[in-house]
Amino acid sequence: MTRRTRHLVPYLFIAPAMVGLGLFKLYPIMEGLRLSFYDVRPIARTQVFIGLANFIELVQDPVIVKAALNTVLFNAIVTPLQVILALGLAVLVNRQGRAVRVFRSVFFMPAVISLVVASIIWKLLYAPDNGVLNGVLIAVGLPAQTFLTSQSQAMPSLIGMVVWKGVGYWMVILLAGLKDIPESVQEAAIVDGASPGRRFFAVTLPLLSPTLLFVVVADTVINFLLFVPVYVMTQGGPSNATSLLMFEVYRNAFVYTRFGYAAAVSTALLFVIAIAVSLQMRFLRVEFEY
Amino acid sequence: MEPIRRTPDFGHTMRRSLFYAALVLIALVSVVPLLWALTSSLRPDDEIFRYTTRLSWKTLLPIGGTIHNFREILFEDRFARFFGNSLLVAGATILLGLLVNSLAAFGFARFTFPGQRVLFGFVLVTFMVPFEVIVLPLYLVVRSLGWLDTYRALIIPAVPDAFSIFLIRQFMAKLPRDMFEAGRVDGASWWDLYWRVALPNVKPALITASLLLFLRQWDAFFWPLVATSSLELTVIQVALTKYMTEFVTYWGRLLAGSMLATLPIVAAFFLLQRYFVQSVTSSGIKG
Amino acid sequence: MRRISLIAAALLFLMGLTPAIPFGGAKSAWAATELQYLSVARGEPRRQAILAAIVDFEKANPGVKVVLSEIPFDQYFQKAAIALSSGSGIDVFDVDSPLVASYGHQNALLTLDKYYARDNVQDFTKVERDIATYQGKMISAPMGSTSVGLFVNVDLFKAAGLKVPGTDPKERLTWDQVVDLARKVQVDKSGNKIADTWGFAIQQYDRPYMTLPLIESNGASAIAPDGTTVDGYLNSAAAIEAARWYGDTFNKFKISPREQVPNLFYTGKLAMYLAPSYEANTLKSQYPNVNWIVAPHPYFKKAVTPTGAWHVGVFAGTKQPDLAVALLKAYTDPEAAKRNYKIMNYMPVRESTFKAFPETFDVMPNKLFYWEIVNTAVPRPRTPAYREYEDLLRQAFANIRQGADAAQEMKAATEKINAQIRRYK
Repeated sequence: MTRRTRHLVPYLFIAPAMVGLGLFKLYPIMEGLRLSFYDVRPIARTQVFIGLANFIELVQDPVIVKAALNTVLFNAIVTPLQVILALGLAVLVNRQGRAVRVFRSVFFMPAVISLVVASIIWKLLYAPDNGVLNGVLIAVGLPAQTFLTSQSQAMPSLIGMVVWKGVGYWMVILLAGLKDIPESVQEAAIVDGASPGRRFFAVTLPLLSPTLLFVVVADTVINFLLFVPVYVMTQGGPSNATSLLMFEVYRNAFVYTRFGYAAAVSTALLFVIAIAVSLQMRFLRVEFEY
Repeated sequence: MEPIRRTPDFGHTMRRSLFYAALVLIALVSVVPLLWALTSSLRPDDEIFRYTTRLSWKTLLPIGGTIHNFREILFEDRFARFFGNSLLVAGATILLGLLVNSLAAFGFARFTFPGQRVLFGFVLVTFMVPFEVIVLPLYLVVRSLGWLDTYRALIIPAVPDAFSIFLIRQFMAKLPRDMFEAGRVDGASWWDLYWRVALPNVKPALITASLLLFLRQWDAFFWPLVATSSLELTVIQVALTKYMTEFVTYWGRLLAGSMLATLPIVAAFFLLQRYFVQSVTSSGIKG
Repeated sequence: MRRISLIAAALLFLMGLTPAIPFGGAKSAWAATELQYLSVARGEPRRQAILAAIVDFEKANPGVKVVLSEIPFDQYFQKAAIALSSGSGIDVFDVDSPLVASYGHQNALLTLDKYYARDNVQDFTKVERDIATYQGKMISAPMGSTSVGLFVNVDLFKAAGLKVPGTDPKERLTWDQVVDLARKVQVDKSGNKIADTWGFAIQQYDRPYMTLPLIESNGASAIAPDGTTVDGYLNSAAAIEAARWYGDTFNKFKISPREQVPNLFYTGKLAMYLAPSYEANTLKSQYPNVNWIVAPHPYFKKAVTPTGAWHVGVFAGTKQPDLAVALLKAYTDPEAAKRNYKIMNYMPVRESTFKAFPETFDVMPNKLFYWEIVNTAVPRPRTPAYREYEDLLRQAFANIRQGADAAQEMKAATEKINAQIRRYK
């Protein structure tokens, strides 16, 4: 291999994925960015350049501002909760035994059922006047709750459902990370007489950090882009208490068919995500050494 | 001797029972909503919502149960075909996706090259944009390739995947440097290093990436609806919406179908999970 | 590893070989011409109606093949929007009747006037003819409609010792009477303040389809006659009063569940159900154990009932306008309309269909529904901004149902809807 061609090697490795991403993701994204400067009437098939008008409108749109605040709150709670619970579960079931195998599969179950169907099930469970959850509360002598139908409980109820759906999924990925930690390292720590708690923080966690970073980033992005539970369970209500930016993207694109405005909202969302992810990468102090 | 031996045994038993109590509690939370769906799928339609208001043992036990819903789905609808379509699409996505994305991950993890940061930034950006925004341009791309209403339309756009690249890169980057340098000294090509050194050492990442790709395709709904129209290409989640018709929702069949789309996957996970877990117990409480 | 790479290679190879299934005007050897029909998914047996129309059409037009796509109702609008904006995969399609004006405004529908003889058009009911017309042109063909009545569970009324409401329009209940009856018939056996049997519920409880007649019955209008504003209409005192009454049924009278668990009426846990005409058919065919009658839609000041369902339109950008119209007519002309009624059980949109089935339209409940369609039906507002109108008004009613102040919600909705209407000038 000559020196010249050696420079090409890394590009050859990434080429297939980059071509695919370019064609199926990056080009459509660029198209979306472009449309955010237009007034698009997709069915009439007209596009009128309007400069920054969409962006000016969205910062003044109280629904969007509320949705942005909701989105930040939602993520600030859901993502840490999911990651911590998933990590706890992963450590708990990272062992042998038939019983543990069964539990592991059970914890994984919510991740496999379709998000649409899971949302329908939870909407029915949460129904205030004849849902199963209030049935349980009343049966044990507790007062019935309003769940998704009141401004104060709607967001916590949504968060509860989303956490339930996601924990098992991230647990499995963290299990893979745990499996990748060499046993010799753990055994060395045992020989050194480290307590289980110390072993976890001093040995397991640092070695798990590449997987953990992935889980934190991926979970953040997925939660920012989540809207099916909102769509099925609350439609953003009551009074926009559960409206997330992604739901507003959907609503503007496919209810109001304002593709340009939806593109502008999603561009704003992209910025929020990018900031969150870069903060995470800095905060978790994982260097991107190449 | 006796008391000394009993004390650790007692503590051990305590810890063990606490451990299992915790597991059972979490398992209940995970499974009860699905259990309600499962028992409902075993009821006739006019029974499903009968026992929600006033809770009784009937809420969770399908008394006078019927397998009518399951029979209806398995024998009268082309459920096997739809299930098979989803399996084919997910399977093909995994195989192609692992290859394409692990190649890119290797490129990003083991080389330093001009433009690397920018290109990796591009990769990350592609998973931060909602699908709903790119669906129309993507549809136009797929149409111009002549792929509408083919398996290719369902598979190929999902193959290059930032999540998988990122995940596999994370695992490859932490492999020890000398592992590769030894190979270079022996005159191994970059392809050999990728295929014989890197890949075998990141199997957990590959398996996890497969799972990511699989679940994404298994839950895929909107894109298949947009990109295909023939019945032969219907995937499972689209098929399920058939039970929510304009006027009537066939709850029993909808829930039975969802269970049929869920349980085989959980069963497969049960059988394959040894790949996710350490082979020898070496951390925490011994079980 | 080696085996996996072999499988991957084989798969790639196979996918390269799989011939593309023809799509969207693509010509292939075995069909000279293709027409795409985009339909909402109606399920069996109701989808047989469009299949029969396609058979008729293909017989009359040899060499032309119709490709039918059936899309679930919830996703139908999205799929149609993508097909219309990309111009592929659509020649003829189902049009949700309140959206005719919206599609018309966006030039998505072919004008049909030149294809229709006068008596064919006159055969459509007046209200459907109006819905099909945008700026003086007929741009869609009515296919099926609906009406709404108060479904009453006779057994629950008898158990409570109450007189079962009459079915004649002359015996129409006022909403106050309904509240009174609902309170009496409601049962809370367990005494937990949550009813076991509910008094009253509205089927699509926050959709304008069913909420607008409430405010219209109280003397308000849904929109200005010229369609340019809702100010002075949705925020009028009459509209707010009706909206407040709506909220009270959930929160003050507590006769309605705030979130509906499905099938309440079917499982005998609901006494009065304000629901569309097609529920009669569902009850007959699937829940024969429920003993029910249909009373006229209740009122405040004057009787107003919902109507509308589906029209069929031809995509303005179709490459085969004549064939597309022929397919549309094979599905909506008088003979097909009669067959459609038998298969699908929508309320007819043609006088000739009503007349063809005296055995059903001279007896209850269809006699009542027919009477309502002729005498009291008010279609949803015909504005290009109907999608926005519906979504925003729906949010307002959802909020009111969940306890928000009616005046505040209706005023806010008025402002938001007007902002959307302005965008269409």
